[in-house]
Amino acid sequence: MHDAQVIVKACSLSKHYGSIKALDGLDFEIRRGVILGLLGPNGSGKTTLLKAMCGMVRPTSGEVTLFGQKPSHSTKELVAYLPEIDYLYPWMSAAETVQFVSGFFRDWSAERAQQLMEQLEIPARTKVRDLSRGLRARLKLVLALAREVPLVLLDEPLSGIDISSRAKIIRAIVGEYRTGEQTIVLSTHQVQESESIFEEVMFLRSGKIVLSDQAEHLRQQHNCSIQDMWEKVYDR
Amino acid sequence: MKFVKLYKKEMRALAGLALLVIGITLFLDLFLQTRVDKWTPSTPEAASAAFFVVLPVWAVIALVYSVQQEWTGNTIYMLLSLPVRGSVIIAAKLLAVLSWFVVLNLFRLVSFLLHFRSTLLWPESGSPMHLLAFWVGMLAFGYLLGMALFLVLMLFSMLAGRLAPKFCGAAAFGTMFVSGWALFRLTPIISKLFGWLPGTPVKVWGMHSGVLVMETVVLNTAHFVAIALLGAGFFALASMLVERQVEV
Repeated sequence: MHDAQVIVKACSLSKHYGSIKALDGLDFEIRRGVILGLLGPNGSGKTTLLKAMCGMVRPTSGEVTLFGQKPSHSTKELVAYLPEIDYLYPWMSAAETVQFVSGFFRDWSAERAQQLMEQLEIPARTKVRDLSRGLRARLKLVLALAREVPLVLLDEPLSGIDISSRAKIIRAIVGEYRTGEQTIVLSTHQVQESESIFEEVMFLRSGKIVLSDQAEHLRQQHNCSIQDMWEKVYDR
Repeated sequence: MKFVKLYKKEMRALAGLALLVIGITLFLDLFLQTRVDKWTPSTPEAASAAFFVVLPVWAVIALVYSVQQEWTGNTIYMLLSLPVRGSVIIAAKLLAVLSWFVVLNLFRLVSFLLHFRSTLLWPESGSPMHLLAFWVGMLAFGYLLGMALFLVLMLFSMLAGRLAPKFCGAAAFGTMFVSGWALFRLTPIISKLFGWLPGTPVKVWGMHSGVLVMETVVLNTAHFVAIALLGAGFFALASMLVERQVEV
């Protein structure tokens, strides 16, 4: 029986690329209404895990379910996914990109999209190819946060972005988060800036979970910040 | 609605390639028109008409470009994150290529007729409208359907090639070869099952005693049904690949 409070559930989830184990037998649950920090260095399996959640890669063994269902085109209605790479059509303007994506989702809020465009200072008429990297990252965030969706997957939204853009992105994530209703999974290896928004954290290394708990509980237990804990986990 | 959005996006993405061909067509016909009195009689007209052969090649290039661009530009992430069936994604791509293909053929024909109308040798019983009607009929019955089938096979092969990322091109060529072979082998077998269907009469232009006349030929409907079913099968397989197999 599916527990309504469990949004994502992984059972022995593995994904291999040849001899490389990107995910190695993961077992976890993500509960409704939390902001989960998916932490780990490059190659730890964060991106593969997020892709598996939204059905862009298929597990080699085990399974992952969203809302009790295996990822499919119908679960994409319930998930907003922001990949790390640039996935926008360069020949569209920022406004055309928003217009294009809005037509596919019933939960799209045009008002919220407009607000975010203004808040993140994205020039609507500029072609995506002419936007700076920071502006493209902000536009991707608009596409993910303009939906009233129960699960938001953000893959390295701060990667390679200037400090001013990073601050704006963090503010937008926090500002649009609907406490108790929405679940946000944010993968990053830049813990310092995003630590304050995490309610739960999951540390990955070589496709395995090395530490997973509530952020506050970990801070109290180890008497240090998540940033310091990162150093303990990965530098030893 | 979702299909229309994707279809419009594909049409726009291919607009540059299509406009390039339109520009070349115009330039070619204008140039050849200036050669009418300088070259051997009928050579400029023949050279212009030969450009029709380029259009199926354009369609093939356009489809390869359309699919390839999604991967090289990482926009495949966008497509696969949308809540649409694989069949909708590939139908939008195929229809966009075929739409431009029709537009380019019509443009080519109109440009050809406009530039060489006065120098063409029209049959006594015929007129440009007769030729236009014949050409449109050919486009609808044979040319377009044949092209559509070929593009479905190509799309299926390219997607199958994506399952072997390191040997993408070789796998796609191999799949194209095998699926083409399967099509030729299976068509006669399946068409036997539909042998009871009546023939389809089609009017075509034919030469009789040096005069161009309209005549009726009867096509084997069972062959068309068999090819259509196999085409639908390859389309379904391509949709399944997009939805359940392709990874990024």
